[in-house]
Amino acid sequence: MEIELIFRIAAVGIIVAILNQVLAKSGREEQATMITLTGLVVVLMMVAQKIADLFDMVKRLFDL
Amino acid sequence: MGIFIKALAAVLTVLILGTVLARQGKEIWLLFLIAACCMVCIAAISFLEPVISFIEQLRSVSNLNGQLTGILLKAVGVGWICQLLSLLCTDGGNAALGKAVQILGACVILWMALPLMTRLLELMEDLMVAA
Repeated sequence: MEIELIFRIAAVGIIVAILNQVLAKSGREEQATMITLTGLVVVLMMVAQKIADLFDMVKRLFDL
Repeated sequence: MGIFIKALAAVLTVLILGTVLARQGKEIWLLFLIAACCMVCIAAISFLEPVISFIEQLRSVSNLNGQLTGILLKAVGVGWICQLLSLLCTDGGNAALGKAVQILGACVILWMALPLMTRLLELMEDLMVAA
């Protein structure tokens, strides 16, 4: 069980949220949106592997 | 037992960190939730593997047809994964998508059970001819 993944995602989320707030407050909404999108892609890449692992395990276990 | 305790700790951590992330933006919070669900389900599967092998052992001892238990196990797997996805869709604010996933799961289970129903029909036909 890799709990580090949860902390990694939470860290990325908090960093993205802080950067988003800072950039939005300084009037750079476009950059804030880009930062959010980048964070989303980074987290999605982390999560995609876990989703694939889960689906593989279910397929193997229940012989789907 | 260590995995069980770790999973519970992870769920509590996700619950606390999730409230912080949900306030900032729903996109990363949803991915966070998906990751946590995947990890907990993978932990659950590690406990389930011996149970499935025990069921297989029971089947071979009782000389049951492998097709019967195979379809049952497949139905459990499809139902489980569809229920999880449906709840994730509902949490993400797409209840209609969640319902669609549930309907898909039900249809797939019915489709998988078709050979059983066909065999039952054949058995009933044979019984009626014999009578």
